[in-house]
Amino acid sequence: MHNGAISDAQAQRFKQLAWPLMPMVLRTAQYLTRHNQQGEDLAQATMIKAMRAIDTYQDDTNLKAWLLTILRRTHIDQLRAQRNKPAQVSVSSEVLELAADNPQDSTGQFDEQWTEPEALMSRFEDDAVIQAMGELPEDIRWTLLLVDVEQLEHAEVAIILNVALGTIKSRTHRGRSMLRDRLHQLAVQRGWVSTRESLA
Amino acid sequence: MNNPNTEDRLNQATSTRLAELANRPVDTSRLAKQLEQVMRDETEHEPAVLKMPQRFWRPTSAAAVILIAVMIGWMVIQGSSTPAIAAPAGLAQIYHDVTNELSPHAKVSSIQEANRVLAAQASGAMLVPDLPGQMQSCCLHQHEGITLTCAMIQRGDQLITIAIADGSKLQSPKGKMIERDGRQFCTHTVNGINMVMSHENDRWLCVMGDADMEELITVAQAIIF
Repeated sequence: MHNGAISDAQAQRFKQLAWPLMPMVLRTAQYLTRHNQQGEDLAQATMIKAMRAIDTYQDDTNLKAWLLTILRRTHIDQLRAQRNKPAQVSVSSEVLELAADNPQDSTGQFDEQWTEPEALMSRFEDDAVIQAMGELPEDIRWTLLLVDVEQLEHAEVAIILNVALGTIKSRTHRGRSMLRDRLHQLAVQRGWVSTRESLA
Repeated sequence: MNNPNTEDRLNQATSTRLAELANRPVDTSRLAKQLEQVMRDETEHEPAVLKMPQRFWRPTSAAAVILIAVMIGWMVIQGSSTPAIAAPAGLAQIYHDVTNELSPHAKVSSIQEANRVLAAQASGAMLVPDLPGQMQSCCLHQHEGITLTCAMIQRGDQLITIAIADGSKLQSPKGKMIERDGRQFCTHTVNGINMVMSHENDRWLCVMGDADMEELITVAQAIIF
């Protein structure tokens, strides 16, 4: 803790700009870590970094994207600290990118059975969707969180995740398909559908 | 799934369901309390204003205060209208950060893609003109209080970073001047990084890299605003 690290003006600016986005930061952190307490720790570390760096935020840029960039870096730092093996950190690594973008992995194998996708999607409670999303590879999960949950532009997500725009588009498409596959398996487990029957 | 309409519908349904997660309430009370405490701990508390003796407010003193206020105001106005001077050491650091991917950036493969990304990032961002090389990435950087649009290109096996700013807000520092085809270029070298700067058509430009100066001048010559 650094006493006297920020001025009153910085504190006010942080309170005025970043404070209202605290729920978004906490929610994203919890979806990302799949753990309430870990999510809260991550959100706290993120907000403290944002507070100290508030003078670097440019007024005409997307504040949400700025905070999510800090959140992502903080998450990477925390993973490195936990594992104490930087070389094995998977976030943004080429290994994960391969896992996320390998077109040979089959996804969407149950898509033909989603005859009424809106109706079936609405049957899953939030926790089931969050759980299914949590089972996806890290970079795919990040992409869906930013593109679909937080509704950021693909270009903004490309900057936050430090990948090409085309990669975000392909990950979004692929991630949605992977999520549907997992939810379909859950629907089968719950007896909502059978493996050979169409979902209605 | 071969039918594009069905696939669109599936994607839309998935996206809509995920978007609903953004409305899920979260309890921020504990986090807010912790942050409030951190803010209290980390905020500098400015010393209480010293009580000024009453005699300070005699008419002569008041006149002096007004004069000082006018002078400060004049200095602020002068300062805000004077362009900043680019700092070669700071630019070398930007080159280092850009080429080593140490700062937030977008990997792009074309000028159009770069400008789409930059426009999404900041509405008033300087756009990237045609560049003589293969686009690698783009980003925005703060330098001397001015926003720079930065782009990294590859020419052969060399990475070159181009920084662009509003020419009314940023000027080149004094350096060795070189003229080519009637155009003036200001050159600097810091920590082995060569820089070629120009100021044309209300744009400030800096081409930098560890390529030799002639190569950077060739790149700068090819950039037209």
